[in-house]
Amino acid sequence: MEHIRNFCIIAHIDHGKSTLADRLLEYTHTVDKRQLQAQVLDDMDLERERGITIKSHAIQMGYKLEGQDYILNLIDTPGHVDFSYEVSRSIAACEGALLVVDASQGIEAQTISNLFMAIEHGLTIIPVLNKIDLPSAMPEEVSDQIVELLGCKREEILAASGKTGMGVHEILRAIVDRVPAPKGDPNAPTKALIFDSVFNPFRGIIAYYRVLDGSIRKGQHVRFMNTNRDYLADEVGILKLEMMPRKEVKAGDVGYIISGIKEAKEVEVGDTITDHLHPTAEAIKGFEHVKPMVFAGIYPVDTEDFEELREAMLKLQLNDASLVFEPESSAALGFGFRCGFLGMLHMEIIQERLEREFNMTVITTVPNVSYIAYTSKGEVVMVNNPSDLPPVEKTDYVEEPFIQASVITKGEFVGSIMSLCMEKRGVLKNQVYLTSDRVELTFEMPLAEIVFDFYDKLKSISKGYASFDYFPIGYRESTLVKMDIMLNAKPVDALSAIIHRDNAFDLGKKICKKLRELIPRQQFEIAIQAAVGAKIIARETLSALRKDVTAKCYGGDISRKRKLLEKQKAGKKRMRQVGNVEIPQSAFMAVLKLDE
Amino acid sequence: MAGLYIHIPFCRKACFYCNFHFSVNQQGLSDMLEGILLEAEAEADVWSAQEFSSLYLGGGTPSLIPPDVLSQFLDAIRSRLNFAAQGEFTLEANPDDVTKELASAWLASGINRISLGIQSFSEEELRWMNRAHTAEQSEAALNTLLDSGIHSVNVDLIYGSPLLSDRAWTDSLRRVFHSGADHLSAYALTLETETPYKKLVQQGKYPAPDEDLQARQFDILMAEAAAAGWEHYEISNLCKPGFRARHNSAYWYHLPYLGLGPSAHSYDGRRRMWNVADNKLYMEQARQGVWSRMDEVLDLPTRLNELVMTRIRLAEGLVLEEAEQLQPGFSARHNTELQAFQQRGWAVLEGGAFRLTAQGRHFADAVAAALMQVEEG
Repeated sequence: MEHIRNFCIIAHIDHGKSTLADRLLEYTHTVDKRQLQAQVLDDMDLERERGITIKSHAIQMGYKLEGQDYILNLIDTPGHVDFSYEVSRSIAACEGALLVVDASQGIEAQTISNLFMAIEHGLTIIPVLNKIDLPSAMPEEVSDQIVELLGCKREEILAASGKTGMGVHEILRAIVDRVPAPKGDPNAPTKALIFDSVFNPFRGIIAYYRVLDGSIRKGQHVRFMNTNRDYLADEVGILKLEMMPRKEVKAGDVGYIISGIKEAKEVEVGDTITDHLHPTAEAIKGFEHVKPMVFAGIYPVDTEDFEELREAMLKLQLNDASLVFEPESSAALGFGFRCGFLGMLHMEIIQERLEREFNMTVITTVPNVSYIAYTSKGEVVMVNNPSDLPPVEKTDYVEEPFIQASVITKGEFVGSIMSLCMEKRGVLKNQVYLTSDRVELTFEMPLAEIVFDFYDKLKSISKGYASFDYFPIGYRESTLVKMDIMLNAKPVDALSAIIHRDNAFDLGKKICKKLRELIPRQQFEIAIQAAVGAKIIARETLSALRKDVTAKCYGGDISRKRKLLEKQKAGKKRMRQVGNVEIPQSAFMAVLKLDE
Repeated sequence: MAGLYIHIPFCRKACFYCNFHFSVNQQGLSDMLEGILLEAEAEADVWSAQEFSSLYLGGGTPSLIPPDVLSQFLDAIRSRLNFAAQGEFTLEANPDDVTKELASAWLASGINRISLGIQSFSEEELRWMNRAHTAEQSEAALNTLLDSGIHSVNVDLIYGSPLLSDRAWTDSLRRVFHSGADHLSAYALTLETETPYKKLVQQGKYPAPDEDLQARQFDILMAEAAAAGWEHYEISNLCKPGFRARHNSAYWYHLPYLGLGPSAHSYDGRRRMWNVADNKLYMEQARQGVWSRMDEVLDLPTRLNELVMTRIRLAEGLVLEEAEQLQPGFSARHNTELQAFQQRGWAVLEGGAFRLTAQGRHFADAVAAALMQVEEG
């Protein structure tokens, strides 16, 4: 055990975590150059395209230092705020963390919250100044930030470049020298922390864990303590570039277990694996059921594809337990599902996976958070869909989820970010200068405001120099109303949204305007109206289409024009007919893009 | 019967709305003509059984070709392909090129129809579109051509630009209808991709065409044509009775056509083929004698879609029996749409032909798309 080191990497998106991780694998000969596709650890296409790690993974490296062989387990962490619980479990599985900071960018909010999480868990932090080779690197300034944040010595900071490989050996040495060996009782009952799981179409769900006490053996009867289910360990092993079966994975080490589990929801991140005959006394602390934060309807574009969509969603759920859904119906869209997501990114990922992996074209409705309505009769109603909101006259009050948000930015943007957050119903709680030019602002604000165009606005007013993180702080009472949208006097339920009463006029106007842009002109005039209750609060008119005819149609135009018309016709099929109005998919997300 | 199209990919200036293939560098003109002759040579065998009833020199600007060069070139083309005795030989000309001498030279080399790219009678609008000529030159060119004894003259006009008033459009139309020209191609200004116009609109420097204005000016076109006794036989084409363009009609009636030169399209009744839209690459193929064309085989649904699309634009309309031949059950399958368009006043069904009304012509694409067959997914 004294020669094992378990560590993770804490970094902001784009700060070079994946490239650096690849270098570690290369320098420890875990993979050779030939195998080293860029960013080995991110093995979903989507992850690679978006340049972010969606799901965490783990890999074991062998490293020889001064004649001694060491096992280094790198536990990768997801780099997006939607997945912060998963990050906390990955951190709990480690003794050390590389804090990777882009030398040209400095520390970001996401990094800080994960760093604090690591410090809370008692991890040894090794600060790494990455991308030191960039001409725009500001090593002095960023080092100051790190020293101030960690209270470490300047000389403890390692300079590196994932791109050139500079500093990689020093990092490996520091991991061995500075990160403590795992502690644990090899003879105690089995106790292992699940920090991730993956779905394999042939093997079922594979859980990744870190053994704290005892060991996990092939053929062992194990129990997952929080789900309280027992399994037979068909196969256990360690994680190299591929899975390497072993007879036993011992205390301190990281491994996988295959036990014929078919559904991802049976394996919950943070759960404790123990022996079913000799269980450990206490499960590992910090376990939480993953709770969806954002809800939206997902509907097949073609109503006939409902069953096919259900199949696809069930398959997605097999390897993504954080996706929850239940059937719902909409007057405008027919049958579909109300789905719960960890956050907006998670929602986009699900939508893209449905399209890419299952070839499903879907309409996603305006996302909303989960509200709690208290009726005058004393009932408590969970509202995951605007249409579930009880009528005003029967409602005592409504509560919405609040978050504590942290924004780190440059001094010059503080003013405009404050106004943005206040516009989003935020209340400033704290303001701290991290260095002379970097400020951390802490707000309490409704989660719903983040769901709408918050990120994009934050990015644009700060010219990209603001990073953002948040965590939920419970429900609070708010003055909320349901806003309905009507097209030629017919309400379109899929466009309804729950909003704060004070924003109703402004939002109503913006939504009507946006819909006027997004709905193509049709052969008749279309009235677009927003209403709260019976009151119309905004109206736009889309005038009738006056012409739809191509000018030229000669030898060279015929193929091109025919294809264009065929494509238009196919596109028309993907539109939804509500009353006599055809609505494109983009219109259902209009609320999210009001300022574009 | 077949048509021959020859693309001359050179222009003096780039008109801002044009997305046709051309180069403003005229260095390679004579080489290009050589290349086109090589292509004609290569195609001669395949097309030996066809009699060509029309030849159309388009571009680009074929009026840039010096008259003696053109004469030799046409002789060479005629020696390689079979032409009907009374063929229609059209050349596209820009007004600034037209002179009395040139007109007689064209006539002498066998050209019997000129398509004159006037586009507008407003100086301001011509400058706005980056045209190389003036309104005065247009007027002069038209007179020169009519005096030259050429059989037929077409005028190209563009309407619906933000600079064109309804009044000016009416005046332009009357000028053409009473000029002695016998054919008019009237095109709504279109924002084509990859044109300077598109870029200027995206940059917010130029206004996009206004749909309402274009619709109004199309109505003016129809009214003025009717008043002048001209036949509006295709969405964008009008003529004195008896002067329909034979070559262009071949496209709409799906006769075979051979296209020579860069970007030119050919159709042999089964396959549509098109040449590379790049002068350099085209010349490379000519030098090596290896002609590589893109092509698509038109299956039955595709042929049906093309039939619907082109016929719906014609005064004769879509003869349902012809559609039935390509897709048995066509009329029954589309009964709802056919009825709906008639009720809306967009079309009439007479003598087995589904024809657009004046109102329906504004929506020819929508009607065509509704009657097309598109595979699911």
